[in-house]
Amino acid sequence: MKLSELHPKQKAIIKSIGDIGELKDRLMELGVLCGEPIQVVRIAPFGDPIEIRIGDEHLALRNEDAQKIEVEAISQLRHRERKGLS
Amino acid sequence: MIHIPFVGNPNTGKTALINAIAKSDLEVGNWPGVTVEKKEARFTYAGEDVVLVDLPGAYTLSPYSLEEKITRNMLAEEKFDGIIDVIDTTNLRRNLYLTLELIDMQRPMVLALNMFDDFTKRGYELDIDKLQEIFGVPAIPTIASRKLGTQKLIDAAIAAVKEQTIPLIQPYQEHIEKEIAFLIHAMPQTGLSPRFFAIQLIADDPYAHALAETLKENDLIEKAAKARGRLEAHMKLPIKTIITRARYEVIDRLLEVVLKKPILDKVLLSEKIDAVLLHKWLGIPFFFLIMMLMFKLTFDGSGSLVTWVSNFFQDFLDKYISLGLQDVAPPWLISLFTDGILSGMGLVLSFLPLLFLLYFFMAMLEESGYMARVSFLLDCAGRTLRIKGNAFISMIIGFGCNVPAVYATRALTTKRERIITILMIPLMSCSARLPIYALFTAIFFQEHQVLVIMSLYLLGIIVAFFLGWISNLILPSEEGKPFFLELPTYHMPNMKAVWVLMWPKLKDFIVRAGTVIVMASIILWGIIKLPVGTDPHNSYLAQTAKLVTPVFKPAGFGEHWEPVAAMIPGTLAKEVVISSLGTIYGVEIKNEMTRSTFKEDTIMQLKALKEAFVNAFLHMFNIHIESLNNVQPSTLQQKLRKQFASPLAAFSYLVFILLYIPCVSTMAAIRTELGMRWMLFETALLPLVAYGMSVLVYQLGLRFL
Repeated sequence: MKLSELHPKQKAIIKSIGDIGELKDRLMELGVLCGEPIQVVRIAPFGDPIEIRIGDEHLALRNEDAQKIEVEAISQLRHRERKGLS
Repeated sequence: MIHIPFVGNPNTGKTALINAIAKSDLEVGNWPGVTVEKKEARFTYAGEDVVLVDLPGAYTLSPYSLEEKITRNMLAEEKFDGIIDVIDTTNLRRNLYLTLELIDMQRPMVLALNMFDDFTKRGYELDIDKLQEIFGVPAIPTIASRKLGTQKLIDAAIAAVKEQTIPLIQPYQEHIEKEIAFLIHAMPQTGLSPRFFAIQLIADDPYAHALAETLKENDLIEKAAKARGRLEAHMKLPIKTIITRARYEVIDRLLEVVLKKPILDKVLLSEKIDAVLLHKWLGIPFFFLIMMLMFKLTFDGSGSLVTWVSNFFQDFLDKYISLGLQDVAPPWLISLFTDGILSGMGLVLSFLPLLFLLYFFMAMLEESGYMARVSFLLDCAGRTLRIKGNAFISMIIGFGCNVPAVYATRALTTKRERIITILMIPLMSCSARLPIYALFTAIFFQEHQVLVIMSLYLLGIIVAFFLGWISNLILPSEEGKPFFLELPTYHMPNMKAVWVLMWPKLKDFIVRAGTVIVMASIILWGIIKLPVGTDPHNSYLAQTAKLVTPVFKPAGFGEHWEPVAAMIPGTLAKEVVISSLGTIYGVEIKNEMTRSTFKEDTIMQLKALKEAFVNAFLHMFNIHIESLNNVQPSTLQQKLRKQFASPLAAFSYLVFILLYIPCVSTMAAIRTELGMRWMLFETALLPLVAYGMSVLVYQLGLRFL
């Protein structure tokens, strides 16, 4: 799924970063790499940009760019609770 | 005989714990075939023999070091009844990695949260109940060095063995879990936990591989290879990385639930602040609140000083320079010097207290990390004009004073953004325009004063956005830098950094904008005071105004030249419109030349300065609402009442006042920021916009009111 499709507080693993021009390099510098866990922290009041967290770094990206970042959502803790294991 | 190995990272205090529990010296031997120490302790617990084995420190069960290998072999091959996993709580994240591997082994287990005192000393908090609930095994805080928690630990461990307390599986990502389940299905019975075996097989662990081979499970090896291939293809990462990340994922998710970082943890504090300041609904209101507070502090704090500076120039410098030049220069020259040059300089300097405070607060917001958040909040709103969210800060500052607003556009990256923003700023009704509104609304709209003033503000905003929208269409779009914001952790601004942000703006204003202001002041002096010895009705200003006035007929104030004339000196500073009207109507109250000595005056000025500082300080911290009751000479009011045919005409005049050229100080700032051409363009454009709008307002008003 796309980074832009995540809900606030949801975590995911970055799978691939598409063509977002020089933004890609900036993100790389900040540790936004494939395989990194990433979390959507919140979405701005007008629905764009979105705030993400990588480790302890907080960044904001626009939706148009977030659409080009493929991620894999991590099943939430709740998932286990649904299974009645905790 | 109960065998309990102590497993943990190196240096987590396993040995000290065993010592504390067994109350004995360890029997030290060697692990078979290697020179690594093997330590054991035996003791009796409730009539049963218990052996505690101190395993070598390991970070993982996919071993790199000899010690790790021993630990893994022991756990995989030897008989034991339950594990005590010793965790260095101060290094929770790293330590839990091994814990997860141990959980995958699915054996009875207890966690020893060692070094718990250091952990709490650092201000951290751990929700142990939650941790126990999630892992499904007891977690006991211990301080091995002081033998605390050791009894509890061994009680829990024995109980776990007796009750077979198996830890709950911590699931990894779903597609990994799928592969694990798939392998478990194809797995024969071994001494290993199927889950652990499956994971190790997928991870291509040599030990697991060798075990499968000895079991002649080639099919299983193949299946594992396929599973690995699928995962690697899917994630485009080597399998080791996939598994490692998956584990840290689980850990981080867990820590989020159970770990409370210290209050002073800046990251966490930032997140807490952001939860409010960037809140979906409250974020924008808070932004306005912060802006309002900044304004209040700036204007209340600088007001009395601004007044003092202008008074100092008018009452003191003006007076003594006039006296000094009385015998050596003709009156017109003295007037040029005092009314032209000196008043221009006074104007420049009177801005300083205000700009100083405003830049100070701006720099504070910038330094603290809030400015980046504003861009985040307002980016979407600015996108319609292809400007950044923080362009709105400039516009909002514009409501206080257009001059600093123009300088604030330096925070914008592209020239295009700055042009659009600077075109819009003069339409933000600054505080200097308020006295004019107050005077006119008091005469013509006694019932709806506030409403009328509000509508003017709103009109300015609407026109500004219209202008911004047009210029966005016209200006060639630059290949802007991609939008990308780092939201830094909030921190207390460093005063030196604040000063570095402030000083260039202040210096620019004094030097570069200052010269323009003084020049403009001289030119305007010429218009108002020349020809030499003229009276207000025959100056160049009056002559020009009389010529131009008929143009304003469609706007409703083309009958009398005086209000039109007042607008020209009004470009010096908007509030000058009022005193100019007074001068033109001849209702000005002349400042009496009081007889006093230089020394007395100097002392008086200094006293006034001290008072101004005191007042500035006092005003910052108390709220006082400026009343709109103007103490203008009533003759001025009567004159004005006669000169405007209707309230509508007066409103149309106010619309013009709102929209035409802002003050020369703003123009000077625009020249500093964008250059002469843009300044002249804006100087030409705005009166046209103002004319168009006031005609529109008047004509519509005539038809519909």
